[in-house]
Amino acid sequence: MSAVLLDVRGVSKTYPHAVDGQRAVDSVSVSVGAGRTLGVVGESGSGKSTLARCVLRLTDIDAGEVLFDGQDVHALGRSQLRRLRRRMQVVFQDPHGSLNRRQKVGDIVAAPLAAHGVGDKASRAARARELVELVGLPQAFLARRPAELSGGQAQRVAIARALALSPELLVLDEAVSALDVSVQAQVLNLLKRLQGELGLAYLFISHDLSIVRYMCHDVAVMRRGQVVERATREELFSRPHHDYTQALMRAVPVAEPTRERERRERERRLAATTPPAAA
Amino acid sequence: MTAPVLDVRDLNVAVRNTPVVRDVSLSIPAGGRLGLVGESGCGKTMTALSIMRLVKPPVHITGGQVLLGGTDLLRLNQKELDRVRGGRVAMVYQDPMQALNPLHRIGDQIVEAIRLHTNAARIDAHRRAVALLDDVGVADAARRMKAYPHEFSGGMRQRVMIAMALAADPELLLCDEPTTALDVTTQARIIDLLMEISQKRGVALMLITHDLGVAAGFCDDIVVMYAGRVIERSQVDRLYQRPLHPYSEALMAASVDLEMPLDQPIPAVSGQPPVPGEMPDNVCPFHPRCPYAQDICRRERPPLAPHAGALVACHFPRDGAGDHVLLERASA
Amino acid sequence: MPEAIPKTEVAPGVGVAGAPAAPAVAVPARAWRAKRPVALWVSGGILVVLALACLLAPVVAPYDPTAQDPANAFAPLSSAHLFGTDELGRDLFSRTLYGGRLSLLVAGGGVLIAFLLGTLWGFLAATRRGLLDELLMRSADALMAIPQILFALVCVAAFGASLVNLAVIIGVLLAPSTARMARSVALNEVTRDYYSAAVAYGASPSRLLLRELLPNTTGALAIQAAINAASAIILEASLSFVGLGVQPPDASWGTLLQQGYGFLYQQFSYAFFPGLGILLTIWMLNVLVDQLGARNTAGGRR
Repeated sequence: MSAVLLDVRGVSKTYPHAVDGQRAVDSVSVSVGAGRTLGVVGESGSGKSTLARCVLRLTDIDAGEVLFDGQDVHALGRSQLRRLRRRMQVVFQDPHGSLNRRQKVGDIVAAPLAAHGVGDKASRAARARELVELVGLPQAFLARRPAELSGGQAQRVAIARALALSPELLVLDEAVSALDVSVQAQVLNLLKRLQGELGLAYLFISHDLSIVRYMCHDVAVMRRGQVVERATREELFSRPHHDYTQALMRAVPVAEPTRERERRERERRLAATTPPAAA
Repeated sequence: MTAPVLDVRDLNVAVRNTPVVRDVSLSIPAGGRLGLVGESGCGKTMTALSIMRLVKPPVHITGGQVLLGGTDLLRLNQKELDRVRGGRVAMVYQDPMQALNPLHRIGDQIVEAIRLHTNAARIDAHRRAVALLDDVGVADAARRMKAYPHEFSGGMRQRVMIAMALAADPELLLCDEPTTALDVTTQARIIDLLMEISQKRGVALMLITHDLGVAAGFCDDIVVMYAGRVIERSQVDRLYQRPLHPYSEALMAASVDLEMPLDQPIPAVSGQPPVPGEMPDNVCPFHPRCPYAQDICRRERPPLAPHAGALVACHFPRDGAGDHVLLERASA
Repeated sequence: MPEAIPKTEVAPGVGVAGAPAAPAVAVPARAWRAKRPVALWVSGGILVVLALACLLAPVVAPYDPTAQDPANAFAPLSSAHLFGTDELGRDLFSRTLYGGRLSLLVAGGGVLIAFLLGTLWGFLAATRRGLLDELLMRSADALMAIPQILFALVCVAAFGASLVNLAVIIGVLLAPSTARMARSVALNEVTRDYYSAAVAYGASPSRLLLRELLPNTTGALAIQAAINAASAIILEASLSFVGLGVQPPDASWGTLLQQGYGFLYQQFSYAFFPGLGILLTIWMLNVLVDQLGARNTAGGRR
């Protein structure tokens, strides 16, 4: 049983201009064990991205606590928070959006080190070379700028940067959703390999159930700000309990014509018997 | 065999001097559903926009024909083109707000679409618009006519856009990633709607998508594009059971589904598609990433040719036994 | 590396799922501007020539601007005296050049101060939000509400009209609008992922401002600086014209305008050329702003 690295307890957040006071995150409790992956899956508006921002303290919370290795992330002072941030990093959805377009890859990757005053210029450059190799990019890329990279390459750079400070937890907010199928496969393989090599824990946020199944040991399903089901991978995918989880699973398109046609036929029959929702 | 509704022949499109769509030929019969599948940069969106002549400099259509029921759209003058666009062929976009004006009520926008292409009087157009909205599944259509786009959810906006596209009873509907921005549950309903439109109205449909699952359940035929070219065209069941081109194979293998084995890496091809202009013309564009590539792939670009009941552009397409052997071609 | 395919351009007027809303129009204005980088280079070129000529006045000017020759007062334009001489026989060409030098230095100093002050002001407001944001922006509003000449009058009365003081006064007057602009662009950048990523890996506030925000806002800030430059020149000239700015024996274009104004009938070139200098500088700056603005929105942003 691995130690709990990240413990989210009863976290709630409401945005100031929310309609009807709808909470973006509503009393959410999840946890991530060291070296394990927790998948948070939900559709748009489920609050999963807000949850990520709450965990990283990129936004404040209204209630609850976020405990990282026992420390309350939202109660830390400035310097303590900075120290903590070295251990928890993030990769965002938009590969190009998360890179400073004015900087070269080498600088981008070494930026966290520079921000914390780790080492000198030479050692940081060496670490940048190391990181770029770790994510499977050729050394020549160190001199490139984000505009010269493809989506997959840019995301690898984002991952390299996230690993610069040797964090224990990586928050992946729809990190592969904007990538093409083949590139997605490459990056997912990379993430799994890195987890094995570096013992990283992942908070993997996604709307794609199939990918969550492949990547995550444990899964939490979110809907309208709340966690409606929480289970291990094995449990969730063999015996989903909540209606919503079941609906989500049934809705996943199958890349095989006959089965896909059958699935859609089943869905249609089901939809005909249930009252239509506002789609 | 009746003439196809859409017959694209050797379409070539370039951005400045770099070709991005090369010798693309495809056709859709009446009531047919064609899937145009590929990853970003393969030219599928450019192809669709070129069919509707919705491109402007620095993008140029440099050659080919786009025959809509026999009329070459590329040779029409502006006035004729205006009548055809929205009238005989319409497009549905990924982002509904590309077609919907946020400042006008949706009812007015649908009515405008109807009146632009038919001689309907205002009252008739209004009635037709309500009927259309109802057809696409918008509940309480008569009242919703007065609503603005922002009052609808994403899925509903998509339906409104489809209603506008159907306003003039087109023969052909081009759908560019219509469900990519939608949730899985909404996605399914929009696809069902498109299926209904295809079956009940006999409209020919072209679905552009990168999602193999969506294409599988919806399309009759699939065209796979890579680096601006068509590299495989096959009937849907055949494609998914036995993809012939190594790229098609790789694409299917790399798709993560609910049944994928968990203890192995996802079969992924390294590298990425070439940037337009990067590859010389006389090589197979996929060869640097292809596990079956040999010398001939680096010297000679394989033409799109019939093989095993499909069309494939490969020197070593998969054969009946599942091997990739050199395809003997008859000398010209 | 071949350039990425530009985002697909949909033909203008296409609204209703393929049906164009209006007949095709003539070449849209944006395309015209983008095809005329000539204007950018010409305006930039003229500004550079003007600036160089004036800043290098000690080298370029044929005479000492203070050298008097009363016998030769109001000499007509000639090859010896390109702009003639003034009431004390001083060469007007040299005076105009030195005048430009002062005007540009004072205005330039003002622009620099406005940039430093205003950018920091605006960035702080954008990154801190909340109460600090309100405080900073409302004080900017307050400052902008004060009539400029009045403010200058009070400052000059209190601190004197040295060149440095003038630059500071101009800088302070231009800072609030700079701050507004800086805050506006910063707000855009602060929501982007690369900024959030930097916050997430623990970048210090100064790092965030200098390495993340500043390099990505140079486009808008440069335009603001050019706008400020034009305002600064007018401000300096206005102040000097009413006697609050550069004081004799120093002479800026504004001072020359004031002095020449009294001798319009004896020597029109006295006021004319400094005035032309001001006009040309501001005009070219405006063209530059226009061109930079078109570029910033047309090509740059993602």
